[in-house]
Amino acid sequence: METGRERFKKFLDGEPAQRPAFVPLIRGLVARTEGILRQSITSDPTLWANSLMKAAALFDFDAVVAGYDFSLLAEACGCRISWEDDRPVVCGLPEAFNECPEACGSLQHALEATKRVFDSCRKERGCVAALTGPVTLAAQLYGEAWLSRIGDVKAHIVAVLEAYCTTRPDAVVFMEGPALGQGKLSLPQRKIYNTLKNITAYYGIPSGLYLEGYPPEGVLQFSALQMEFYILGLSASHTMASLPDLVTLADGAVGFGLGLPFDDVDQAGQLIEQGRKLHAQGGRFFFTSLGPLTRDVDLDTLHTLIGKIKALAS
Amino acid sequence: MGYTINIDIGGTFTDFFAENDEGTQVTKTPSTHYDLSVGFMKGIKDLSRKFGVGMGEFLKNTDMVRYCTTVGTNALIERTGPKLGLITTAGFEDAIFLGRARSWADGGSAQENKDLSRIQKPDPLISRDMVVGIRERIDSFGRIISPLKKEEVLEKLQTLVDRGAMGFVVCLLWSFVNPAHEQQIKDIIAEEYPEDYLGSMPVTLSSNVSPKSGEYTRAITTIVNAYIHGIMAEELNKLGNELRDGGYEKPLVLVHNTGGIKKVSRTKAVLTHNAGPVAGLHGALTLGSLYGWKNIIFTDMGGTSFDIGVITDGRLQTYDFIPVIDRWRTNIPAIEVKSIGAGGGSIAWVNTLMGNALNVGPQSAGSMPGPACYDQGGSAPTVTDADLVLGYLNPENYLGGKMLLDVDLSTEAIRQKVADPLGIDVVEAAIRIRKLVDARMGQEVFNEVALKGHDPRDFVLFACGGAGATHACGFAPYLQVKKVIVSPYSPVFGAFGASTVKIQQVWEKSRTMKIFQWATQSYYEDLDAFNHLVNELKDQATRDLKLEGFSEDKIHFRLELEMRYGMQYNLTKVTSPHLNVKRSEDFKDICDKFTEQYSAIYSPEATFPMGGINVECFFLTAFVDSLPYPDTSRAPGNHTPSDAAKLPPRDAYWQNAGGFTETPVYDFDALVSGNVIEGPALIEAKDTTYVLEPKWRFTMDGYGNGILENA
Repeated sequence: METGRERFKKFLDGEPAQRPAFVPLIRGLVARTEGILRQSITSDPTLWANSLMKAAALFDFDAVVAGYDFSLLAEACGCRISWEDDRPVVCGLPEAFNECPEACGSLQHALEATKRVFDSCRKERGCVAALTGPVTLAAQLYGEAWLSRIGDVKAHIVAVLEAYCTTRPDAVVFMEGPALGQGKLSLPQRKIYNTLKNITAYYGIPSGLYLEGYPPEGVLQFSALQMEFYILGLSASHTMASLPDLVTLADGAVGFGLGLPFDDVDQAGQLIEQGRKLHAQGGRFFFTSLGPLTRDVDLDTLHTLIGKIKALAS
Repeated sequence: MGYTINIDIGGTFTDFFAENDEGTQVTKTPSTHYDLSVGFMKGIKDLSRKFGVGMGEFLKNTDMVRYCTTVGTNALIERTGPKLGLITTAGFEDAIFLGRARSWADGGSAQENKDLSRIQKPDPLISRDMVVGIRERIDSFGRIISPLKKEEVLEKLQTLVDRGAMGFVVCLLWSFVNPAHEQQIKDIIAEEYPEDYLGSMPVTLSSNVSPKSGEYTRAITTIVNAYIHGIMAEELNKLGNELRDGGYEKPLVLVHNTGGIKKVSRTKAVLTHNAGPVAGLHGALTLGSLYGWKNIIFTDMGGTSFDIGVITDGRLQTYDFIPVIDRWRTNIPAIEVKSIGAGGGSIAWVNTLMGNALNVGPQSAGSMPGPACYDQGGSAPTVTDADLVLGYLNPENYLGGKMLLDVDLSTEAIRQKVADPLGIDVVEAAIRIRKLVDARMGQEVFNEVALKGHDPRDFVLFACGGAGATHACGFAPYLQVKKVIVSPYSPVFGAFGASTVKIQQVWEKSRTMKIFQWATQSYYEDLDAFNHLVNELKDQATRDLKLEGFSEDKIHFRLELEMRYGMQYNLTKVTSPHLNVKRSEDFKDICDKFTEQYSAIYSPEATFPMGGINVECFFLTAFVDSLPYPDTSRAPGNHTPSDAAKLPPRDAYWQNAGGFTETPVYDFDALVSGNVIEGPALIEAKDTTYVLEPKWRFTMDGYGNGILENA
């Protein structure tokens, strides 16, 4: 019987597995399983690590994703954060930049929690570190001037990426919001991704791109970033990317993450069925959530869908 | 014959050299300092692919993995070793803190050592509160003057344990003559903290690690060994397990800085320091023997450091003085190799405090972030960046195309950090960086050879390392050597050298014998004392090598003696013409050899026979027969390289040829024996680029070595 980690590693190594791995992007669900506010988790690495591990164990995820939060890096670089409905919101541009973002704000706790989670989970589950991508970070730090300031985020993101890499994840995911999809991919955007990929290559860690708020018609252009895998959330018009588009996007890459809408059990069921067929044809992908699993996710639906995914192995 | 794999971990790259009956394969991977086993296994995977077999099959059919490790050195630099307690003779608790003469300068770069207002002694590996003195005394003849009291040992042990000791180092006065008290303390510790309990404590005795005179160096050698032992054992076990999981069934073998190899299980941790350069030096000795060259200067310019070694009379030289590991002066019988901070990754910087003087190194960009052109987030300009800007490196063929270089990043880094502060253009800045590093290397090699009494013009120069061929024409003129040799294995020369190292180990013991008396003009009469000590070392060596599986008839010995005039401070190591002495006149031969060697180093005028001649320490090297290196020379072919060897030309900068000039480029792999190329030219090999400056000539000889000669 494969462990979750073996399954996820097989995806990364391009080897056939008994069934596709299930690697959801968890955010508010962590606070819910612990029964506390998300805000209190982000200031306590022990609580953060324990709740991540508890959620992963409770639902038997094949890999645990740590750091899935767009506000962490922005706050560490100097942006102010306010909490609305237990959600962190980046408010305004930073007045001054922190020199060592990896040692600032909630990010330092996130890194500590990530290390602990990976150290504990590594045998059974895959370990994925997620951090804000450079384009979104530039937009968070420089506001309207972000387009010409992408190169300036290099030092910040390189330091944080290195800190994440030293926690020895099996994969790193760069999270990008609408900023990346505005217009065509520019040379500075491709260049900074090159730098980041060179760093992950040094650490021998595959890197992926998570994208949300992208223009639905321009999905395929992101293949120019030559990431090892892609995960697409909802587009700018709140639609899902089609399976053929995902397959084309990941052509030449290791594969892609097929997002399941956990608020629509029927559609998710259909996607699992499509996934079953794709898996049988040797398609390289893993199941994930369409966007983050939040506090208000329906647990019965979650259990049902996980059951269906597990049933693919038999 | 199965495969043998040889690995040398450097500051920037990890080098691999593997061979079997069918041939050899080499590869390089960036050193993964966060976990060395990652780069280690990546390289092995790459080798297996090059041999066209799966990794499992490759490792299963591998007879030996030889490894030049830096795990111990890293542990020292990063100070990740355990908290240790030192037990010493009462009254000598401060010996390791007082140090030895200029111990504050040990291991510091020349630049740091000049800065007297800032230089400090390093933080000790054992803090003062972790040192206890035991009232005991053994005299210089090994007689027990004051016996050890068990109660006192137990009391002091408890003190150390209460303060958090995780291991003990025992170093008592004269223990190298009589180790009884050190052994007694070890027994007491074993009794108090038995091995089968979790609280068991490792104990390291100075009489086992370094049975030589000199309290300070003996204590420091033992402390360094104990400090890195646990970490090395853990790391090497982990690596051994990974290899075994991959299918390798034999023990991992480590290269020693004494010029031999042994299994991990029979290796003292302290003997692994600097093994890579020593292996390279051994490789130069082996290749040199094919040509009959006896005098060789070995250089290895890697990413982080520039290593220098000298071979004279066809022999590797061991330290006459005392080798330094990190910041610690030890007394191990290591082969002498000097390292300076000058490599492809050395950072160029402008010293504003010294009137905007341009400096290169000693800091290195290492493998992470590496030179700016690696595009791994680094912004510091390095020697590699300068080479790239000047057109010497092909950005699309670095490491055989495995790593793409970004010229724009190099240009920007040099502009920001060097050119603009100096008010010069980028190309001029790149030229200065290159010239500076070449001059520094050339001067350092010259000093290393000339100050030891040799004429560099009598030597051939081996230019090894990934950047060796790129800079050989730059630093060789400082030595005026006639030939520069660049082996096809030069980018991985440490790993290649490891493949040539044989089973060998050095056993040593201090003992003072005055073998020549000036007053009576007589030689030592006590032949038995001399022979007894040599035979004792021979027995130890034979027993140890037999345990490694070698029969007695395969074991050979060589005796070296540390000698001096009267009570002079410095010792000179001499190879004894006699293993055992049969008559008193044999000591005359030894004295003559000493006088000859001393004269060569310090000049004949400096000899001082009036003080008599002493032997102070015995070094017995035991080695096992090995097969001679195969002679694979080929008959020379055409003088002119074939068209297949010619690559598209590119612009490169030549100062004496009018700046950037279209320069012919050749493919090293397509060159054959006998091909001659006149400079200026560039020759691209998989892991290095030969930069052939104007007026230099390249000839590929029958062994595939590049011979560079200045016309």
